[in-house]
Amino acid sequence: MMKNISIRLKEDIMDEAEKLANLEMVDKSVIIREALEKGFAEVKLEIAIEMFGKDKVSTSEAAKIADLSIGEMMDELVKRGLRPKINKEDLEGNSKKALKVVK
Amino acid sequence: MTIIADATSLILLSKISILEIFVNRNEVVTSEIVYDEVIKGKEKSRIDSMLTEKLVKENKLKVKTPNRNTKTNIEKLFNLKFGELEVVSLAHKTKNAILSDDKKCINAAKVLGIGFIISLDAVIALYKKNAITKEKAIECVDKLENYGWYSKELIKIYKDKIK
Repeated sequence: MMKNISIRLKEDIMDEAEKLANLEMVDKSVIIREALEKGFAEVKLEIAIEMFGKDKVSTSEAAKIADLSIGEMMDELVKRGLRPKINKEDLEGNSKKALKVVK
Repeated sequence: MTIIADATSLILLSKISILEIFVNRNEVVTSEIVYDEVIKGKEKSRIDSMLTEKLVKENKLKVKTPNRNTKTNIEKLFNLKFGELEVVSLAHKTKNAILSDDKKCINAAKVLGIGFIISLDAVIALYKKNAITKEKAIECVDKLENYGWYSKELIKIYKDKIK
């Protein structure tokens, strides 16, 4: 279901939308809606990346915000040089532990 | 001992082609939410999603649901959510260990005294137990280095463990 909303847009954006709408032979609201949907996905991803980078969210929380699978989210994070801040102190004694745990 | 795996580790082990070996040799459990998180990638034909689904269908990777009260308590204590929350909840007050490559999940495990390992530990352990060759272990760590999920410092530490 769609809902109505009124927004103010810059004149140049309206002109662009009008041009594309004429090319596609659709109403300019269709073009603006498509642009919003695509832009929304980018905004969600940016917020997820920013929050992960500030250690505010886990990998799965970031994926949920961006509406991506965890694998896709991990790919987006490493593409930007981001990773969980796991350090050597976190992993002290892990080799011995792993040998006990893993067959 | 059962190993409770989260999505990050299932994906990383899948990327380096040792997830199947790992689950064949160990009792590995994941949670419903983790499973859904990984499977979501199937829409885009991700190998990790398809492999995880296959392993669950073959009952090599088991999917369990944590106790609701445990989940609520851990969520309040650590502000964990989704897959990480379920993994920690499944391991809480058991002798099971967590396999996770997520810092928030690891932090919660540390505070609760739950044993945890990361995917790099799994590679080294499989190598030391002769489940994979030295060449394969080196290849796995190299792939993880190229992917970029770990710092250079951690990669070096684990490379040294293979020598």
